[in-house]
Amino acid sequence: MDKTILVNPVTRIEGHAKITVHLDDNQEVADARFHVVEFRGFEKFCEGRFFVEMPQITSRVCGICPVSHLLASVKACDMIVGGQVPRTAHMLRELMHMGQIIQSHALSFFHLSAPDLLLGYDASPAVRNIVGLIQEKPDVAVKGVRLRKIGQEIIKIVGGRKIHADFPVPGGVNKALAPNERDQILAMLPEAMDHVKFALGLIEEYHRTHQEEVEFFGKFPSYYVGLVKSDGALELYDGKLRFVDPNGAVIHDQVPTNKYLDYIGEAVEPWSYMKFPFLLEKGYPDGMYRVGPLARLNLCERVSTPQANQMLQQWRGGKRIQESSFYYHWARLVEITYAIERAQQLLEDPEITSTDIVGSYTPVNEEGIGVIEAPRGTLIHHYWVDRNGRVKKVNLIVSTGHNNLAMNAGVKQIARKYVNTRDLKEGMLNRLEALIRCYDPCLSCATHAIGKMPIVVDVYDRAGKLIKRLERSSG
Amino acid sequence: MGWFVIERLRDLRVWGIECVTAHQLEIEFADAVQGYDWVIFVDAAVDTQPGQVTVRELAPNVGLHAVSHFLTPEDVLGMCLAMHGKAPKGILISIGGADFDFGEGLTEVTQQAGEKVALALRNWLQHGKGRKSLIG
Repeated sequence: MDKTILVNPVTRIEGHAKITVHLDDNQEVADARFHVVEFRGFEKFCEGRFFVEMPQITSRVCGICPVSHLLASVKACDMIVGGQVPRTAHMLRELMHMGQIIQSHALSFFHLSAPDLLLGYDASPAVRNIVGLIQEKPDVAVKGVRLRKIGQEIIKIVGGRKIHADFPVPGGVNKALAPNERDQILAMLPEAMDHVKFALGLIEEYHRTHQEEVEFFGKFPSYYVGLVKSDGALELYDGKLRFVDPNGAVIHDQVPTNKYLDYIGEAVEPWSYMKFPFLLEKGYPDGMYRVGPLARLNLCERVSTPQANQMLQQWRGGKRIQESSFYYHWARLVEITYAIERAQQLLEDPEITSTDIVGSYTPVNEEGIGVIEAPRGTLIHHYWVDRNGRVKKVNLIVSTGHNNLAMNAGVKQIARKYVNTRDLKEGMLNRLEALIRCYDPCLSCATHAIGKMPIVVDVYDRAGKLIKRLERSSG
Repeated sequence: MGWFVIERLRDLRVWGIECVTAHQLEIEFADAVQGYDWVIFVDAAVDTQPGQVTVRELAPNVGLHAVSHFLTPEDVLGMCLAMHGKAPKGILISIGGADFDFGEGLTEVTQQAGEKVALALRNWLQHGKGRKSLIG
């Protein structure tokens, strides 16, 4: 009789989730699934709101990446007002986004994933957490806190608030950057670079000492999707879509973001509230693709800032594509480096302190699409409005959603490798969680659900009978 | 609620304190509070009567959830203690909320409670720090 294992709740992710492992008659893993078990319904209850409210409403999806939703939303509103965003406003929004990349990636690396990397998968959950990390490696924890703080301070200085700033508005921004504020941010960047270099040392050492695991962990072929600049370089704020096949060959390039529905479909499964985006031309589920730091570094030609570009070459290690999901961690550090360098470029532009920061504000188009590379991957906001600017329909495809098929593929691969159903041990289940954490999923965003962070692992037989449950309290 | 009290304290120009307002507690507060003698957290409460004020001393203690959305005041102090070997003394002041629906401003009952807390905090910070009772 087939049996199933359940991991519930998954810890150190944003939102509620569980993992089920399904066994066959020989007690071997037949399948594994990553379930998202919450629903909030932002797309529905936004209907009827005035479009200018959308940035403030949708940024409430998440307290970790509100800036990403804010910026994607306001870009959709830019399209509705049909106006050109002044160059300074564009730069200020991108600067705020660089702060977001720094703070979110710092949190993911230092405080969500570092306990696995530095304390080991087989360490007890009682110590393999942020508290254990602080106690064992206080220097690592402090650097992580300070790097994240710099990202948050950039957001606050540029936008007026760290969380739920009302700074970007359709057609521009509502606050100019003062010269003293510019200088304040510039003064913080060297410290940020020191911290990220420290983290790079940690991850490079881990790759050296755990080569077999690193190369196996969540390794499978997939397509990759993300934004690139016009020359194919890494782009996080604007740009056009690029689609890359599992071998690294570009299959579609410079696709305008408002054409995303021609390429991406969304499937649903009865066992998860999170939708399953896929490439339309490849079908479901063969059109599985990945987004986020790993995808972005796989699909770009280069990085436009010198230190991050050098790190990209080291990350690639001579390969065209890194398939292992473990490379997400290292990729985040390359992107933090880019964000620091890019922030410096923006701050050194003489127009960054201009007061020409807002354009048109009147609705002229009945459709708006905003796309941004959020820390976790491509984020799409799509609004349909009536002639008065009242929202008729909303479609949100968030980073974690894009990765849904890939996370499920990874969970299945890890379960088959590590889960011994005759002798279930904590470390096996920790690896299932760790695979999910590679993607740094934000289930609050993916289901637009209220965030908490536990996970459950359940084991079921083929008849659907629960035979084992492992769960840990979130707090 | 907390923002109202802290803004009132700013208006009252109490010497020797730093006023910080935030939508949620974040991990960097654990670093920021080091070096201070006291940290006083003020927030609305959902589990007490509207306008009811409760004061609780805090012990540093970090829960397993403590990474992002769900930091408690105890987590902030506990992380500070773990990172720096010492943490400030902590107090949590909770004021029962009356209306949590969308809207601007506070209800009369909570605004009066907020005023009372701000004045009591000023008096305590200027004259009575160290005494057990903060709100009499």
